[in-house]
Amino acid sequence: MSAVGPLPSTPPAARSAEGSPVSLQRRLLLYLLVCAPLVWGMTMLVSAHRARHEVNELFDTQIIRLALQVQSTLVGTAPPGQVLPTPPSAGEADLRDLAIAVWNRQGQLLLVDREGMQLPRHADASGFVDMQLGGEPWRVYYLQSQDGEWLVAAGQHGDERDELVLDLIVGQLVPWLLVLPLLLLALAWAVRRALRPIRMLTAELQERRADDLRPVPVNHAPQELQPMLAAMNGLFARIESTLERERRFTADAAHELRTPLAVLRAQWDVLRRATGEDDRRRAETQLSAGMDRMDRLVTQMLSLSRLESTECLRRAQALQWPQLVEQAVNDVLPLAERRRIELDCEWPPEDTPPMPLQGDPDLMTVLLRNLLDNAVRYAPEGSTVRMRFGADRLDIENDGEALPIEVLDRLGQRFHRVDGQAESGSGLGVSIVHRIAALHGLDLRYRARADGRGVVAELAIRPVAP
Amino acid sequence: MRLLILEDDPQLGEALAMGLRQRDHAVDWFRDGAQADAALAGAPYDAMVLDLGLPGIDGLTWLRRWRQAGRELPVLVLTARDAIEQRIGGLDAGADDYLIKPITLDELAARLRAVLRRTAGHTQAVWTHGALRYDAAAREVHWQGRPVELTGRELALLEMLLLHPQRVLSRTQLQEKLYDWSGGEPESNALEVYVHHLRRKIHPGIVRTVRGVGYALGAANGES
Repeated sequence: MSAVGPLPSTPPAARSAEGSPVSLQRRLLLYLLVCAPLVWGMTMLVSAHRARHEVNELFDTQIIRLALQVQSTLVGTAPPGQVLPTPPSAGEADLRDLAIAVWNRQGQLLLVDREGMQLPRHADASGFVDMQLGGEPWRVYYLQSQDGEWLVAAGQHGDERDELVLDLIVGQLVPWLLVLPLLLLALAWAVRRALRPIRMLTAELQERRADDLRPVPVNHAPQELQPMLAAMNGLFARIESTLERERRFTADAAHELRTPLAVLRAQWDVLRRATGEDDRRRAETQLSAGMDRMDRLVTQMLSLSRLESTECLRRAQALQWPQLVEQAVNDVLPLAERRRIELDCEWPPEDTPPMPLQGDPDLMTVLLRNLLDNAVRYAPEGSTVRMRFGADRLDIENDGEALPIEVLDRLGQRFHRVDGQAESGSGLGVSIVHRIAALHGLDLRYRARADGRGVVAELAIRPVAP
Repeated sequence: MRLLILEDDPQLGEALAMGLRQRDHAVDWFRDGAQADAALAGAPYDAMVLDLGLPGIDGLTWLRRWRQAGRELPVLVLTARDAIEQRIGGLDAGADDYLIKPITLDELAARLRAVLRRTAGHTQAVWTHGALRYDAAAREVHWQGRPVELTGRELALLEMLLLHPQRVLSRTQLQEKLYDWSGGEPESNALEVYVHHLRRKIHPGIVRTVRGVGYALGAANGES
């Protein structure tokens, strides 16, 4: 079980608009329950139609044959008005549904059975006639002899046919209905079994710890689930890398906060114990400087952590470099004043626009300010810091002792501070610059000036990969 | 006592030095291992507070070097590196205590006292010498049960003598323990003045003069 306990099997978000939980299993069974009877009903209608046709054909043939047989055998041998006796042992036949009557030319009833008494004589009738006799449907076949001497009528009760058709249909339907629960059980089992991979996956995910972002194995999953699992694994990977960045940042931040905190504690302690007015004033100045440092560090950490979680620029627009430079220069002016540093900006010739770029002006100001701040902070007092815009690049250079290559390479590392600096920086500014540069598709490199001294922060538009 | 702080962060180094000076210690603060190394050779430090993240050569490397060179002064590591392996590494490299920033100056001072007690062979926080009781943490002195008011320097001198009860300490040794390099040269007879004060405030026999050599802790049974 996960630390937070099992999740409810159907979170509210997974409910349909009607408010009922969507269970694939239930839904599949429902579809089957509705569709199977529909299909059966349709096949039933078709077979009923076919059965009636067959029954009609069969019975009509029999009636014709009966009429022909009566005509050829009985007429003439029997005295007029004779009523045929009911035969013994009728089997399953219902003989009252059959009727026979024979008339001669004069309309005299020659032969009739008990049911045949009610058959009407139609002297000119020939073939099948449907009629109502005593309120019941009968189908009667009239057969005229060749010479018109006799008229044979053989009739059958209409219900007989309906019954037969019904019997046939019911005979089919009953076994189906009996089998239906079994079929449903089998279907339920099959659906459950088919959905087993989903349940196993659910169980696996439920039991995972919150920080367990290993990919779910895709190979054994059903084909339908594979795209979803692949997408989920991709999401896991992205979350993992975000988490990793966060973890690294938190660890670095915790480490970096220790020294400024120790400074504040010690400074506060010194201030508390200070006795003389001079000591007190000095301790206050130091505490204030310590708090400035903490302020700067925390501000930079926050902006860096925000930047780290940013994947792309929200509002990009064409950057107006002169405005941005003015803003950034204003921001570092107090520091430059204090350290007596000249600030200077070189623009490209009139016909060349300076480094045209789509970007976020606020972020770009932060980038410029950080680069300028670093350049000013670590330049020897009284020197010049120069920005130089090109068609596709911006260099910010300062003066200073020549730095070894490996030191230049390490300048971009988070929290890295150049050894032996009198100014206390957080070492975060460069990380912020790197992140903003990356968001804008810019490359940031550090190198020495052409004369080997100082540091040049070189910001160039990244060449588009072929 | 005389302390050496090796801490490259300017704000922290300065604040630590000031805080420990407020507690009547003589403190020299260096931002660079090589300077500290030179200072160790030149002055008798009682303990060192060592930062590990130093420019150039790492603090741990310096610590190992000093231990190999036979330097036995107590070293308190004060660092932001808080992982277990780092603490173990620090202690195994020869640190007597391993402290994680941030730390209050009170705790740092207490840890320094504890480390010093151990190296001096004491285990109790209150030192007794005859009728003299010295509570190093509260910085209180009692003679025959009654409290004695001493200034910071006087306390430091008494502490120094108590730390080495069986030894005669030369004037130079004592002066080096009492003064760091932050102030100017001490008055030439300052030490004699403090000795005089101790004798007057506690007991004339508390400090013994060994002519031509220096001073030692005297018998302190209260009899003149």
